[in-house]
Amino acid sequence: MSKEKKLPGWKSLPIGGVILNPGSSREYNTGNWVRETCKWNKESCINCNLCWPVCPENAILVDKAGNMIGIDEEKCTACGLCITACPTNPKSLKLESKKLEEI
Amino acid sequence: MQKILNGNEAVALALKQINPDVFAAYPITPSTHIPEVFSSYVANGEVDTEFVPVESEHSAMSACIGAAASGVRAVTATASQGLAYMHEVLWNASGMRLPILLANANRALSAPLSIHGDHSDSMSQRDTGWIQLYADSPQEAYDLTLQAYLIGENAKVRLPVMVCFDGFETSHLSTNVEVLEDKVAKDFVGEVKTLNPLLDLENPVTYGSYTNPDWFFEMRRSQHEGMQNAQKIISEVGKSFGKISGRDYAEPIETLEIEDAESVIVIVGASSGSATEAVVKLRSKGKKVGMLRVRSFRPFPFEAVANALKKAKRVAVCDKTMPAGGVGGPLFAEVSAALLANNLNPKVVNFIYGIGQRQFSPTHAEEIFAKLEEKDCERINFVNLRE
Repeated sequence: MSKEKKLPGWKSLPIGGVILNPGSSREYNTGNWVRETCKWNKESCINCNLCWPVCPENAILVDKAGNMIGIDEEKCTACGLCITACPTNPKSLKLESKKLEEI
Repeated sequence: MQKILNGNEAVALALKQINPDVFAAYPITPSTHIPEVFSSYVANGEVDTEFVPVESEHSAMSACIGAAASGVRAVTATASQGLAYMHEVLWNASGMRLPILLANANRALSAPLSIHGDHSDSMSQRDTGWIQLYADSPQEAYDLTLQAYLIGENAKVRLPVMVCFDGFETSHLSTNVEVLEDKVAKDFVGEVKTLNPLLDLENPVTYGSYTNPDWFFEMRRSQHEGMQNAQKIISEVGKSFGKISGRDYAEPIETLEIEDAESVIVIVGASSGSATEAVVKLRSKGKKVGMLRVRSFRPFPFEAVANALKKAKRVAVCDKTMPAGGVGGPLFAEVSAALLANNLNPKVVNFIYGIGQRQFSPTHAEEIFAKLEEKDCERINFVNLRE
């Protein structure tokens, strides 16, 4: 775990494990335990956005105009679904090992 | 007004007066009457309840969980294998803090197969985080059913409630039951009190999400708090029920002749009737005996039990389930711990009785008092068992 932050105590949490803020899973760093991550090649990318809907972790970063701007490596679990979806040749996304200090 | 009802019919009538939103059930002996009678209320338009005849008890509890999470009152009735089959979802109900009501007509578990009563079904669910109230009669089964939602839905509690009563001995015992007028009962129970209901579309929430080790423990801890708070709320609700019915439930235990009793039987459920007769008879012969019946098993009223037993020299704890390799039955373990925690050290002996509805008469209760005085009596004894 890269960043330690102080979590709330049981008295201040909603009971029953209920989550009161919808979409809060987006705040969760799903990829910070994974040894690999997905790297984006801006040069070959045709900005088709086909990778965006298949990513289970919202790790594909797209700006308001719909242009791909990168990968959120804290969220990417290196599942490879985006690589399968990528239509370019060569692929514009590929898995790479993280450096030890990044994990 | 008085009606002749058996335990199941009494519970069904209480449910009719509550008019819950969802009743999901898979009928099982000896609780079958409850969905049977209640489904006739549904068919006759006497309640607004959505009756869901599910394909299993696991589904029954799951349907109740979905309904309760959506913010309505959900109820089921079961027993024995049915309760066992619900086991994993019972944890979901309590973990999501859903005030579901479950009426359980206590019955033995297979094998060998038995349809008859003992407490092994609900006692083996005692750690699921459900409030467990044990009735001694159709009257109490009716009364506790009417109180259950008010306890479970309380903001300080938010837990599901199991109303347990002995299979056949209570479920099928037809007796006079003092019944409240519909309006009085309805006013007492009131409208459902919700917390974060799923159907509140303005405020969307997530139920049943995954938690990592950094959150799970906190959830369990707050659940424990709800159970601790329930002691007080059970008492408050029991007291206010007393005001409308004349039957006060402020105490989590019921005692008989206990003030100066040297020997006390501690028991749960309908067999307290036999113990009562034995106490009355032995008292008439000058014996200092008494009885303590535990009504709320979860939360367990440690203080009240210890306080009631503080003068006792000998305590016979009667379990209607097998010790299964434990120090004794579950009630024995709780009572012994309550005594120890309060620095009380009477002689405590465990009596296993009524397994698979083996008869437990006043004579057997008298035998327990006699055995309790024997010098070298064993820790665990079996009542009315053929050697």
